[in-house]
Amino acid sequence: MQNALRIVAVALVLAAIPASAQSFADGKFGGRGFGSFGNISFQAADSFDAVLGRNAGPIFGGGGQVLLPWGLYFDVGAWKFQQDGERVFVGPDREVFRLGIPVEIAITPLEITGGWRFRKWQRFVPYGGIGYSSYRYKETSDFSDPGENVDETFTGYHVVGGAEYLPLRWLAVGGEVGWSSIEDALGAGGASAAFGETNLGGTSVRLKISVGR
Amino acid sequence: MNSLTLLARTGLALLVGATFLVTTTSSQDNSLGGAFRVLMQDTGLEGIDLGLRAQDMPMREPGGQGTRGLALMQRAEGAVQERLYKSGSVIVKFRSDAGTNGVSSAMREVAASKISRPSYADFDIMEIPADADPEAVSAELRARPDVEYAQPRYQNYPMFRPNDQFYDRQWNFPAIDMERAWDIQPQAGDEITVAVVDSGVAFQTSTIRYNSRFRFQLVKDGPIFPALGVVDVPFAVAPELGAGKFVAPRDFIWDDAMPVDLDGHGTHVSGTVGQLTNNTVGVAGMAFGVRIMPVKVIAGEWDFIFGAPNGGTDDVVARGVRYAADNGAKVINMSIGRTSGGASLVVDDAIRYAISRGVFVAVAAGNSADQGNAPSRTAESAPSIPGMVAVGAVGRSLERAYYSTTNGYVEIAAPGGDQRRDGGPGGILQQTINLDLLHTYQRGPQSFRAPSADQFAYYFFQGTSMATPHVAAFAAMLMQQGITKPAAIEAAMKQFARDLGPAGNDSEYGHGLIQPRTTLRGLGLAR
Repeated sequence: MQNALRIVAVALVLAAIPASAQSFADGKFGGRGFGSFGNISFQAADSFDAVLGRNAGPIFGGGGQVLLPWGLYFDVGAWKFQQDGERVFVGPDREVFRLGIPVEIAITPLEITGGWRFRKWQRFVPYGGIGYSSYRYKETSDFSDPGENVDETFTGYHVVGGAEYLPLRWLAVGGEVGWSSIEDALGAGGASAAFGETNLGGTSVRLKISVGR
Repeated sequence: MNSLTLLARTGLALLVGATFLVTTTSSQDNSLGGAFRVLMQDTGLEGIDLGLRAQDMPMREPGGQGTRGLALMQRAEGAVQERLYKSGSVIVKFRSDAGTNGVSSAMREVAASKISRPSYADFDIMEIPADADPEAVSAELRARPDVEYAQPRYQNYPMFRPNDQFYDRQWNFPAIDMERAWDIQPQAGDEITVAVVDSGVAFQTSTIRYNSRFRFQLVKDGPIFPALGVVDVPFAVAPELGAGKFVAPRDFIWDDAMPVDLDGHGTHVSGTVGQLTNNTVGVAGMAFGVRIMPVKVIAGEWDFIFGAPNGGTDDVVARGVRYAADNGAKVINMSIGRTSGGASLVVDDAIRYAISRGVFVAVAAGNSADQGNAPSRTAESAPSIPGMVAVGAVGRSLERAYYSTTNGYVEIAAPGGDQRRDGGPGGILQQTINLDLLHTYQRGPQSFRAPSADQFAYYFFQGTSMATPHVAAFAAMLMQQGITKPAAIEAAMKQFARDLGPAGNDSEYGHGLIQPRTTLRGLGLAR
């Protein structure tokens, strides 16, 4: 988590450099920071549903973005998902029995994204990108030996698409849909093994507010 | 110990009937009247606890891993885990004269990135590199003159260990990590009723009048025992079970509601299921919070002597199973069986009925491995009935007990004791009726007299009869934890079992040794 925060901080500093003092939409150099919140639905729906009682939940995060000429951009962002649930047993017919033992799931992805901004309109900018994802996964339960908790990092990729509206030259409000794939992060044990689900990724919908020039 | 007692103590009491010969030729005996029993008094003195009894099982081939050694080894393994600490930080308390420079110097020395003081504390939490050894860092800090103390953030755990007087002789519970299972569920099944379908239980204090009207022989061509006539037999609640634990008692040997134990087997089994625990007295039980439903379907020798109307036939056993299912039991313990005859279809049918009503059934796999290894007809259907589990036995070395029947129907293993390997204390210790006062026929016709069942002692028994209540108690705890369906309980037991013997399911240990702690803990999302 510390490394992720460091990278985000560096990105924010870079974003704050008034490289060319151009607006977001004019296609020249720029930088900005952003905050985001939204919701993610996990691919391992049955596993999350079993343990957390739902397969989706809120996320929040932030990052920095560098705008390059020709519509290119790069950003580095991190967000967090954290929910409490309870340990379970998955029966012979995939029936879930809740055992009343608290478990906390925390997922902290670091995402590095490169993409293209379509500068067809003055205040409205659709964009799309693809990137590298690093997901830190923590699972902590009551009555666990330290070795029985999980704190591991897994990597994968993601694609994003969205659009933003610029009411001011230094402010953008956007909506973004992301899809990530983190293969083989799950499925070796726990409910995910019972359901045969291996992917920690999911589909997220986020509202992003970006500030900078 | 004669063969009769050995059979009774190894859970095949049904076989007793085959060697029990009753003669009805004496008209003088018949003049005493028909078979009856009458409750003469439903109160009496509390049961007397005579303490631990000397071992009556010869200690042969002592060996294997001793109880204490195993327990200590397991605790030591636990201790290795419990030494683990939260990585990435240490606790440090600086002396008052350390000053800012001292703190900064110390942080540089151990490459700490941050230090903060919890609002409740007079010490600091120092964040160190995640891959640093907190013990080494702590030692480095302690060497500084400006540090009062420093230590890793060691992880602590709840630790329940029953304080019962003879708990340290109960190797069977540490062997399956029960202490940490009790940490997870300290109430130990207090919402669950376990039916002990057996020889009865010492569940009430009373005096019952019987009529011993036949002369008899215990074995063919053996000595003839006289008829005793009308006798009053005192009973008492087993002190370590406690009167408040029992619900819906039923006796299908005498067709009444007084399933008193004239054998000792059912009381011992009940103790393993739910003996009063952590009361500084006696021994511990596994699911010590459960209620016990005494259901008598097995006739002890005295029941035969007193002319009970029923024996432990398949139909009687089936009746007991159905009764338990219809009267609120969620788990049935069947430390009974037979190796003679054909399939026990009527019992299978009753077990299916019980399971359909949400009842889990644990059945002893049998004790015939060293005597021809004949299968238990009562247990052999277990693999085809989800929610019914056939239980094999291991000794304290966690190897299959010499008597534990090997067969494809064995599904799980639990401690049942192996006194051939480990001597008398290698059995399962529980309280039951004082056998010296109960089995008076063992002393021969000259000393033969009416039994009394109001004095108790602690005995080491062995058998799959003793292994089965571990599984029944385990099922009760799983049910209370939230696994409410019998088939799922069976699946959970198998999934988390510790594989013993050949890899995978095998005919000696089934899926392996039960693991209550890991099973109760269940599954997280990834682990």
